[in-house]
Amino acid sequence: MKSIHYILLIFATLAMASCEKALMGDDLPATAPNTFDYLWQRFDQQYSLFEVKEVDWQAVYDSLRPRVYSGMTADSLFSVCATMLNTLNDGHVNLYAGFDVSRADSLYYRFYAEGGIDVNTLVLNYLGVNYHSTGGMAHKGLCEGKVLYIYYGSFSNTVSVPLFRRIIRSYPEAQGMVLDLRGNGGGTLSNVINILSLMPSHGQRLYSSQIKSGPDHDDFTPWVDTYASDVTDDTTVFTRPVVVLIDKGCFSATSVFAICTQAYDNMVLMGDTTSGGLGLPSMGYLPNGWRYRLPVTRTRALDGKNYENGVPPDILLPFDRQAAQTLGRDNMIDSACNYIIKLKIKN
Amino acid sequence: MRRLFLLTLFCLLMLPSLYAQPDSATHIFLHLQGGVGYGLYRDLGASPLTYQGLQLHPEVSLCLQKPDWRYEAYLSASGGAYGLKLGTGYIQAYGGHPVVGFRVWRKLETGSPIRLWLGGSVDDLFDIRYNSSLGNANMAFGNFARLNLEGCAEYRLCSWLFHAKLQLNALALVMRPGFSYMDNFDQEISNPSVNVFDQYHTYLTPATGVSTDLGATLVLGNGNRIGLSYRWGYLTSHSSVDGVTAPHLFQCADHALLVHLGFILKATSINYM
Repeated sequence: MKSIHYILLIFATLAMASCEKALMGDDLPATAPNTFDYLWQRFDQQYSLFEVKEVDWQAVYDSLRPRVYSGMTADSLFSVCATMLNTLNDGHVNLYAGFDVSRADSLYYRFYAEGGIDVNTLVLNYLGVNYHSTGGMAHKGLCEGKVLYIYYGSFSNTVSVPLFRRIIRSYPEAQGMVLDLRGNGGGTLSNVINILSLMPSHGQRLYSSQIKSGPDHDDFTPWVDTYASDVTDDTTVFTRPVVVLIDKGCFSATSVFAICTQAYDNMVLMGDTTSGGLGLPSMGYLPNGWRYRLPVTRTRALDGKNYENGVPPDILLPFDRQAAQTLGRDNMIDSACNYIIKLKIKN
Repeated sequence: MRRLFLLTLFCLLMLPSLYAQPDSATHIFLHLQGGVGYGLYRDLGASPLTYQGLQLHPEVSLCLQKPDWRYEAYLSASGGAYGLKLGTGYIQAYGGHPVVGFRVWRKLETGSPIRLWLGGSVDDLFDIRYNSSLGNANMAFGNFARLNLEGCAEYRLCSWLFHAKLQLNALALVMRPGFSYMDNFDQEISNPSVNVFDQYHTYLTPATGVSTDLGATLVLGNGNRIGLSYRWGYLTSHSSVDGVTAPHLFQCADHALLVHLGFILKATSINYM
């Protein structure tokens, strides 16, 4: 009789091992309606910038959902989903299928049509082909060494504090710095902090941000401040004027860098308004295996404003494309150099 | 699922035959265990899809076995590579969880060849999941500090010792990524010591899992052991009703075939049971 209990226990053990299917259930079927609804709902609950974008997300659903049906082709479904996401006009919003990637069309148009840089002019007439390259930064002394010019094309290129310090120390005669961020589409925020840590940083507040914390559009965590490094040795920081060149090709981490300049007296933004993108993006999968990307945070600058749609320059200066192509001159670099030299003369 | 746990627990507790067995040996065992397994998991934080994968299962434990009590400190892990085939694409991910814990079992006296142990354990399971294609959400952690109820039935046949073990994760303090799923966000760059895990949710929840183990062990002449067992385990984080407290359901199940070596480090007398 006792053995019955043992046998019962074994059967109970085996029975539990086979019930994981019941415990976990099946995946959501990867039908077109399920995929569309799942995508819409994830954005409805997690997208952090409806307020700034002024998009009626329910109305978007109501207008596009009738175009979705079971059995539609993947191309058609992708097209409808991409149309839905493009209403947000957000460079951090993408849909990735194996065969295509959606993007904010009008924003990308602006990157290329209104971007303020001509790389040929930059390399041939300013940097020269023998320019130095350190930590993803191309640099050279301009105006007979009076201006340290740095071109930083992507915040994805890691620039460490020692490397940036090495660049600065290579130009001891420089009266100021031109940090050219035009066309910089962003990257890693730690590089923003690394660069700023060699500016006069004393732990000042740089910006504030909050992250989505619930399904409603206004569910956010409290604002949390981000601070500059607390540099105790003033001899290691660059206290001379810094002109930061920006344009519509600047996005994401570059826009974050741009709002951080509000915390530094020696930094000034020159050029054109950036394309924003201050929300930090997260990602996820859809039931059919496609991926989506969406920002889940929102950020405000020191002045309390949310520059998600673009950070304006302190000195507005449109890029003169004709001068670049006919004269080989970059009016923004020239103006930045003049600004630094005149500032020195004034002082 | 809770009803299932309670039913199984009830079955365990109803096993009768509680009378003494003559056994006066005290042993200290070092157990080494390892094997391969198949597992699946789903984490609704970043994906509604279920991943399947191959796993490795190493484990080491130190066991003090007295006539009526068994104490064991254990360190185990299970983890591996997971994947999912979708049309022409393939999703690759990695995951696993180390577990460190301590258990105490009390022998129930049966008077039959069947020996029953009942007890419990406390352990901490730290789950790590990684999928490089998910950008800022590529990594998620989960932690389960658990209080477990455990039972084991052993049956001796010649030099073979057969066992069936059951572990119910009765209560757990669970930590899971917050609503936006990313383990933290940009504040970490300026003050990582403060902000790591600052977006995680911690909550107390019952019935987070169950595991079973069926096996046979050959007791050698010197008392050392070699055995083979099959283990199944299921773990769930549960999901909240408000969508915030524990916003994303995590579930995983593991099947493992394990080889077990047991070495007597110290014994007052040889006892093969």
